[in-house]
Amino acid sequence: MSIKAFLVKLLFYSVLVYLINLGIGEFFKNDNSKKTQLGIFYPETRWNEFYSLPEKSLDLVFLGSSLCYRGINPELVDSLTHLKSFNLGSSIQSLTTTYFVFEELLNHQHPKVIYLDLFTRTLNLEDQLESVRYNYEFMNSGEAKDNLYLSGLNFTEKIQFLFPAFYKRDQLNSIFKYAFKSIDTSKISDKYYKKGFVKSSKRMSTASLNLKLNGLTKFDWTPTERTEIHLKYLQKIIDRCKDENIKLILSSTPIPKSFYKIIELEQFEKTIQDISRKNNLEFINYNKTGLPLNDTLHFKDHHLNQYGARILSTKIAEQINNSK
Amino acid sequence: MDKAEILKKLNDIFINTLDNADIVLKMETTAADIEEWDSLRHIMLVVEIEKTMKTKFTSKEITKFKNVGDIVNSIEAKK
Amino acid sequence: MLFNSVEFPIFLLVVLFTYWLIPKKWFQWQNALILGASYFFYGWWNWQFLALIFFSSATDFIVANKLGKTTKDKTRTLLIWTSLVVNLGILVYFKYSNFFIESFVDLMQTVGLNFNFASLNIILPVGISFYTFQTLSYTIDVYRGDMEPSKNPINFFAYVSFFPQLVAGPIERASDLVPQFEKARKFNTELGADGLRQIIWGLFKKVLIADNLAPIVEKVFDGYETMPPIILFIGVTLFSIQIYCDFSGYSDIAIGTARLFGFELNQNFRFPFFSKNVTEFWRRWHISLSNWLRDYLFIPLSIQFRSLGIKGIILAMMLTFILCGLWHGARWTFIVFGFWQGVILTYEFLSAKKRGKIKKRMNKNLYNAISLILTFVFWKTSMILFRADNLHHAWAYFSSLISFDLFQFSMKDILAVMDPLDLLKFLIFIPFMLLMEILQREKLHGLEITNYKWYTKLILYSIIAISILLFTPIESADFIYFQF
Repeated sequence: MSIKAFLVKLLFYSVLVYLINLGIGEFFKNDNSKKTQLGIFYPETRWNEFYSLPEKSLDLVFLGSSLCYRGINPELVDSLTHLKSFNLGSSIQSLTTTYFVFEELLNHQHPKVIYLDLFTRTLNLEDQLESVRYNYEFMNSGEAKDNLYLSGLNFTEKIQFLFPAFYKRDQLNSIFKYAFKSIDTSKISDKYYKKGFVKSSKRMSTASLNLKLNGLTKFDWTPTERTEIHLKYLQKIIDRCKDENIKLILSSTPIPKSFYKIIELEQFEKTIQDISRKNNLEFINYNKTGLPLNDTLHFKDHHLNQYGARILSTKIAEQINNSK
Repeated sequence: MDKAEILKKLNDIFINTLDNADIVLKMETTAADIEEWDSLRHIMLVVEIEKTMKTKFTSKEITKFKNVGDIVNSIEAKK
Repeated sequence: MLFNSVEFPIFLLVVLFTYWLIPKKWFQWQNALILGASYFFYGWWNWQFLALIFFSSATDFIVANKLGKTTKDKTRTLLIWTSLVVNLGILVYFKYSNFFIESFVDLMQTVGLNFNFASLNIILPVGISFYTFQTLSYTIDVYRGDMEPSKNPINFFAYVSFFPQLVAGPIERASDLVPQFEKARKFNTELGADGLRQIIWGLFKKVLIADNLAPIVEKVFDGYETMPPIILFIGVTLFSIQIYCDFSGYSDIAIGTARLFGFELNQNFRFPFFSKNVTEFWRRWHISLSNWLRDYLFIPLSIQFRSLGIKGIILAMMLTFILCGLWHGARWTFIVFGFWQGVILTYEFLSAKKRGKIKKRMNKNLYNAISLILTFVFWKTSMILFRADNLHHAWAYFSSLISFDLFQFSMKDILAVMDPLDLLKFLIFIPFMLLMEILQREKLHGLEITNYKWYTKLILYSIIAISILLFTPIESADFIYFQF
């Protein structure tokens, strides 16, 4: 075998494997479309609804992670304040991701107020690809989307991104689970509602929470190599809001009390307080505003369910009305 | 004692120590040729040879043995 | 840099292309490139520890050169001791000082004395156990007169730090590898292609089997107190497979990578699960280590002890295996692991004749099958020591495992420690791995399938490559052998 023949063969194998990988990527995409139709996969619906809004029609926008899109119901806020709001939260939305979502937001809307909801994971998420994938595919092409890939990901992640069979492989678990039975939508307790909000109807028991808390470490407030970058993007959001004359409010949606120790709430709060003081911003930690919450108002570990969201959204609306 | 004699004596020691009556030693036979001849039994062979031949090898000599011929030559040199 | 990281293939491609672009007659420059690339590869973890490799290499290069020039016995002894003290000193300091301090404190406590030593905060430099053994083999071989000292420091430094096998072996003898650095290499497409196949096979074992097994094995060993015996049995079986796939997978990637550069390394695993006794097992398991220990430890010891007859051999064997255990890590579990291996090997050594007689009287296939199973069961049992956190943990695990309930098997218990998808993965990948290795047992690795039809190869390569993409565990693990 000559070297040339060898290299040609190698190239052929590589191309073949790469194409199969793209095919599997398409398969994963279809799987998500199916779940979108059932209302159990949200990013596509959320972005589509966002793009369908009239330009510059929003007064208030919520940004953040799943805590945000499960905890704050814009529909309720709107009915109590007569504002127009939207929730652009997305799963494990790190601050780096938030920045590009925020850029895309400003391409279409110019809200007066933005609530930026912060959680430990939004500041110390390491696997940025995990965060990007819930937005990139569903955003309209343009600079914000391009930059989400080009600036939002590091070198390794950029390469991984070219292999959807690799970075979306966690979808296999649910595909396998439902390979032999169809999804019973009546049993699914959390569904996309509207304006970006996801309604979770299940109540969590303290017993099931305690079971989960054993060995749960991924939420702790330990800065990672990525934290500095996330904070740099937070500063960019703060600066841009000042330039655009948008009122930015930092917030933290409430989590169950048994989580306080796990996430090292005090230290986390102190970090955010330092930032808000330095930039002269309001920071509302809803863990400490005396909301009448308990474990049954949460859903799957630390998120709020719709009953909890009702309490939080009402509180936010109240605060907005008071500040008018 | 000449080489042939030494070789014959060695052959008997090998047959007894390795418990294999089919062994036929040549000067160029190595451990790879005889299944039972491993590092454990190698040292047993050395002990037996020293005893029967009434000779004493140095450590350096033992590590240098690459085949049966080396052992034969070493014994011959000592006589 | 990990072999299973995104950076590694890019690093490899860049180095490989530059390497082969250098004309053959300038192979010294190729060696310089390997040296530079290897230091870069190692520095990726921790550049400070580069000083250690450099120091080890420099000492041994100088020692060997002086050995080559003098015939005076006294000077030679002094020189070889310098090399031994420097290399083993570094190894003992970085790997064992904490262990010795802690054991000393424990010992004092048992006699009622309380010492309050803070453990030294020493980080174990990656691969130190491998490269110190490798460079030691050089000075010892030169001292024994088995090889000439290398004249070119670049060749020698490149040999000590050769990145494919730097951090987890195979531990290559100087007399095997240094000569390969001293002459021009030729690119051979057959060798290169088979190197690639070997890398793929290594990745398959490492990423698809070992890494996927790791979290399940961890679950079983951590929560053994509440698990039924059958799960403990499965747990330790899976661990045996995990560590084999982890380590032999690494070796395959290392050997395959070296072949891409035109180097031939020694086979490190010869399908050990098909051994009919433990002695044979150790000749097929981590061969480069067992050969090293045999030549530089066991044989010198047994020569020293030979006046004691059989007892001397047993003593040498026990010492060798206890040190072999300790080589794996500064823990009592490893020492007991080594001791236990020594006991079984002694038994096999003493009973060889008797077993030979039984073999003659029995049906040969039946005898072989029983031997195969007994060997695997023994190995598996000793793997508890290998995996356990401490001796107490190992004993508790073992005694919970030995129970009359062992044969109460229920699917529910299994699904409590792994997802159905995991189970399916193992039921496909593990038998496939074993099947390939049985079919290829006379060859160098499980995927040396040069004689297969082109479409069979195409299908196998594609399935393995795609499976690696799809089934890499979400959080990938380090190679287990890095810590040794």
